[in-house]
Amino acid sequence: MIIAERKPMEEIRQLIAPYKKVLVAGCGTCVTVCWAGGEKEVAMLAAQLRLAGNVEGSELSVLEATVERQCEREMVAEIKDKVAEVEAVISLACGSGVQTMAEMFEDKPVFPGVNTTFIGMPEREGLWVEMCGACGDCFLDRTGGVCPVVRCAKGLLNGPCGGTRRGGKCEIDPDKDCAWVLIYRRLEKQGRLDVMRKYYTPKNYRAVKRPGKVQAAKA
Amino acid sequence: MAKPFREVLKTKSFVVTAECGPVKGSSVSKAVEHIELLKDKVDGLNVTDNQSSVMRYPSLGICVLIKEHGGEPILQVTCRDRNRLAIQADLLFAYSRGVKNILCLTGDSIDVGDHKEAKQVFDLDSVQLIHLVHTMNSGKDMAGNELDGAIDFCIGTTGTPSADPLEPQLVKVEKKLAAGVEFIQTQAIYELDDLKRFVESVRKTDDKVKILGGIVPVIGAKMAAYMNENVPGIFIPQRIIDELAQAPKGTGVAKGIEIAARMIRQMKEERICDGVHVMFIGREDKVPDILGAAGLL
Amino acid sequence: METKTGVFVCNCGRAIKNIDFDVVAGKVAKFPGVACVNLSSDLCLEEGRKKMLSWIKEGNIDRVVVAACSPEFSEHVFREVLEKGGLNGNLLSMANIREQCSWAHEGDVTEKAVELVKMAVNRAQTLQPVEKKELPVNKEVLVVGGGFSAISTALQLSRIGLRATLLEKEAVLGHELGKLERFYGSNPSVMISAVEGDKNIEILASAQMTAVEGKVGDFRVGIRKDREEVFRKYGAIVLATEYTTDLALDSGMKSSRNIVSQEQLSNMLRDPRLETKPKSVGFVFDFSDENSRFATLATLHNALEAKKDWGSEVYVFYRSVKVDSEGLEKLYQEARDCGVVFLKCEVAPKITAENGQLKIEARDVFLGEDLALACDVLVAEELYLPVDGAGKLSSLLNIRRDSKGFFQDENVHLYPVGSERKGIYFIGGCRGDLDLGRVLADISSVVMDIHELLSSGRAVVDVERVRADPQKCVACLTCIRVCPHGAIQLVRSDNSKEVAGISDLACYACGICAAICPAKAIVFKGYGDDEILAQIEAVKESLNGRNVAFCCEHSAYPAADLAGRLRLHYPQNLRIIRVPCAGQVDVFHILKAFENGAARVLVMGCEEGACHHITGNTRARDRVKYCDTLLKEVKIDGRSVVMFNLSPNAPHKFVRAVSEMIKTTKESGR
Repeated sequence: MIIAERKPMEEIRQLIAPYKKVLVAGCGTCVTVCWAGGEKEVAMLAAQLRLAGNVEGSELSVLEATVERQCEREMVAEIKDKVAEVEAVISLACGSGVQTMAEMFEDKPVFPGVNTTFIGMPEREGLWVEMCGACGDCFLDRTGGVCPVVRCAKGLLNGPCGGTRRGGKCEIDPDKDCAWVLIYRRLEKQGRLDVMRKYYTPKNYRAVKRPGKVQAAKA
Repeated sequence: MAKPFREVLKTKSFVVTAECGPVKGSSVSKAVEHIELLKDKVDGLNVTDNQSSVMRYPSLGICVLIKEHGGEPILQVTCRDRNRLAIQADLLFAYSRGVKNILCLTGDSIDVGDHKEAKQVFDLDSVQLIHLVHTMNSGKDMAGNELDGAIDFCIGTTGTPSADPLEPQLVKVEKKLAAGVEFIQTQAIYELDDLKRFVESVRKTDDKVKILGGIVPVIGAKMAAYMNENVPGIFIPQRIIDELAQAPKGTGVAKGIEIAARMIRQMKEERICDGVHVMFIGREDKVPDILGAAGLL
Repeated sequence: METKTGVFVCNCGRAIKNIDFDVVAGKVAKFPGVACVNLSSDLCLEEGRKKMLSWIKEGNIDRVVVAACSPEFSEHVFREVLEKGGLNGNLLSMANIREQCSWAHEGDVTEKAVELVKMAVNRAQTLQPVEKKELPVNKEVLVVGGGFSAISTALQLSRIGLRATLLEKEAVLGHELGKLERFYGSNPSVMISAVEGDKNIEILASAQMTAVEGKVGDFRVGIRKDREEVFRKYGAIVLATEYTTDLALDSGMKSSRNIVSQEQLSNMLRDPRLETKPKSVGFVFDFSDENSRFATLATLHNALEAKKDWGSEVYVFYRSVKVDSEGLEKLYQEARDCGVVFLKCEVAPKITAENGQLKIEARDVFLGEDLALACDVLVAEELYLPVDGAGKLSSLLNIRRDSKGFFQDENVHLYPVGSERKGIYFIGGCRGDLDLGRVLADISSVVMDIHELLSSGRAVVDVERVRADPQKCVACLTCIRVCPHGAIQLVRSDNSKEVAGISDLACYACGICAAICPAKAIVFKGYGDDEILAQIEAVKESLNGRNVAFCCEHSAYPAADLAGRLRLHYPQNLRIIRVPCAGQVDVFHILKAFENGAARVLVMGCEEGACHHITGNTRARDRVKYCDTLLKEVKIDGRSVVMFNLSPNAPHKFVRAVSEMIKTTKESGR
């Protein structure tokens, strides 16, 4: 699922500095699950902004709304009345949601309130880790289900590099595992190390030509 | 004129190479000094490529200079900063200027360098780079097009004998050997048993490749401890740290050189490997002292 | 929603003197939604209750507020009155105008009393009824283990008419029972035949637990026996696996032939073929593990026997001899009288082997001298350890273990036999508790608890007091992972969507799940967002400069009551909001308090390591820290939120915390 993280408060306040009435719009799907932009985070940010607004002596009216999925036009349409009331919108959805809102309400500035970071999963409650880079050319079959495109800091296909730290940690961050050590161990468990010994030709980095488009077969 | 490196590899029993680190800036005077100092004392002179992800004068440029001054350059190519087009183009230029020895590396990550927001390219990894050079050697580019003019690079790569865990590294070394390399220059070694084990493992697959043990003098106990903690792939055993700690103040460099020379002599006398690759970046002027103390001059 | 709230104010037999009740009644009657205000002086007594009942019946009201003593004291009394009057007991809201108002402050407290009633009225208007219903529960009990504790439990359960299954890993039951015979003189074979002959007890030997699903009243347990796996259902699970021992020695010394365990020495004492009786026997105990009385019993017993039967010189090296268990003091006296030598040392003696003999060096505290003694045989100190497989059981049952690996955290709220999951109990050795007297008492506790829980075959539960709304639940699994009582599972909602399902029987109504749910999908009747925000809103006008304290009902709330009872005074401008657990207080509750004008917020919960709901106070602490950073991000000066831990019997701590907080409020001029 898409993981995002709230932007620094300073940045958000800069974005809405010129306005007196704003809407904080959340999304009920990915960003709810990763605690970045759900109804609760909307309430917290709105409360912070109201408190901050008062302190500076400037009025700041903050409305709140959360949409089930902010990347769906029909669902976004449900909050059009609230959007109409305000001068600007802070969207706590991922980039997809922000852009859908911006498209639906072209006359209103829609600002991102979170940084969309990666496709990932919870390692445990409250901690999300990157799993997939949406490269459009999945080869997880060859790596025992560990993706080196995003989990290897250099995205190597014939890893590891010489920088693996003691204990199998990544050159860049001693708290992160070296993906290729993980791949080795996984394939070893499955008795498939021969897969790792094969030479893998350079990646097709143009598998997904940006901006990407996927057309499903007609139903 | 220096002998071609490939020939030296085939004939000499203990090959010696050293390293030149370019500086930031367009002035090459320092580089020329180092070239003049070392070109006749070593069989090959490596030039690092934006080492530690710090932007510097390109290794290709210094290699051309080495050639012009009569030395034998070894061009280090990393995969971090250039995509496959740029790398192939650089190699065409290199060969045309007589730079015929390539060391294929992955490259440090951007985060350790001084341009921390740059995009890491890594269009290729080191194994794919070795294959690429072979492809060019066979007269074609990566897309299968015929190349004008024959190319015949001598290909080398790196290894990390003190890696922990070691097995995944060995898998990668095997892939490099399968791709075909003529020489390996290892990362810095401080525990010769690690080097022995590495050489044994390589010999199982390939008994022709020449292995040059990497030597980086360490000049203080604190530096050694720091390196153990922070530099990946390095392992400095406690006895060396103790030896450094006992050296009187101000004699750190001399002690480092002494230890390095001692290791090199052992590598040669016990025939642990086929040669040595000396790295003393920033102190290239001291390299002759190491070689001298090791009896290689 | 339009509600009609009836307010009942009591002056506690006219003992409350610093509240002007007429003013209170006058002001309260004007609150929106209040249908009537009644004054009384004895609301909790029979007369008062009768009057209240008739007012309820006549007054046509659908919510009740009682402003009187602490709800901890009288909530259940008034709930009954509501039920009698045809109203759901959950529609009661109380204002604590006695312990936390009249008794806690100097001077007139009428204004505060009015506000407390307003908070209760606002809360009352958000309350929803909670029905009760009967759930069938499985009456069978699974007892894991085959030793003394397990067998005794099964026998006692059978005696009260409950069927039990004994699940034992080994091929036979009771192979540890020999110990009992030695030290307690009981006859193990009698126990074994009792269990084998009991119709209510099923024995599954050479069997192991492979999976546990479900919850109290309805556990589904996978059991592997003879390579076959079956699933059985039980209403409760009792863990009575024993313990294992090891010698507290270096591995080098462990293999020495002259160093033995208690059991080995007992066997030697009974061995008719023993060739040479040792001339000197040494014992070492109480240096590594302070808690085991069993070690004391075994040592004293064996020391005495060695002295009497062999006539050896017997030395006991100890740190302390603790005799607070039945029969121990007598045994100790007897041992001394017989001539067993007791040597008190501060540190464990050093044991070495010299020429085939053991040398023991120690410093005797009383003599103040270093001693070196030779012993033919030494009984080394035994370490009591959890059995192999305790870790596996722990993860199967989803139950924590303590730092030594035994079950049963030393959490006072669960002590002595409960776990954090309803319906799962521990006794005996697996708790690290080896004293027979205590084990017997524990077994009775467990059996009584299970009797209450299961004997009727039905359990009465609150229906959906805490409920995950399937419309809003996104199945993020957070609540399932976080519930300290293992009461939540994934279930299929009506439209086949997978959502979180909270078990009414297993739920402890702590609210930790409600606070952490990122989709705000969990509704907690009585203590949910609506109820809390209503109380904060109630005092919005006067909240300026006020301090709000969220007080957990297991710690700070009773501490505050106790402070009142002891007439420990603190300043008036504190508004207390009662919560079931500090872990149920959410960040936006705190922010709302600030938004509504509060100056300081205090979150008060149980002491670290003693949270009634295990993780509630830790979560509260982390949330308070996070809330603090949120406040700093927007550079709000003069407002802060603080976490405070205390136990329910610490009224002075409560007063100190509150007074300090209020003092800093005054100093910052808010």
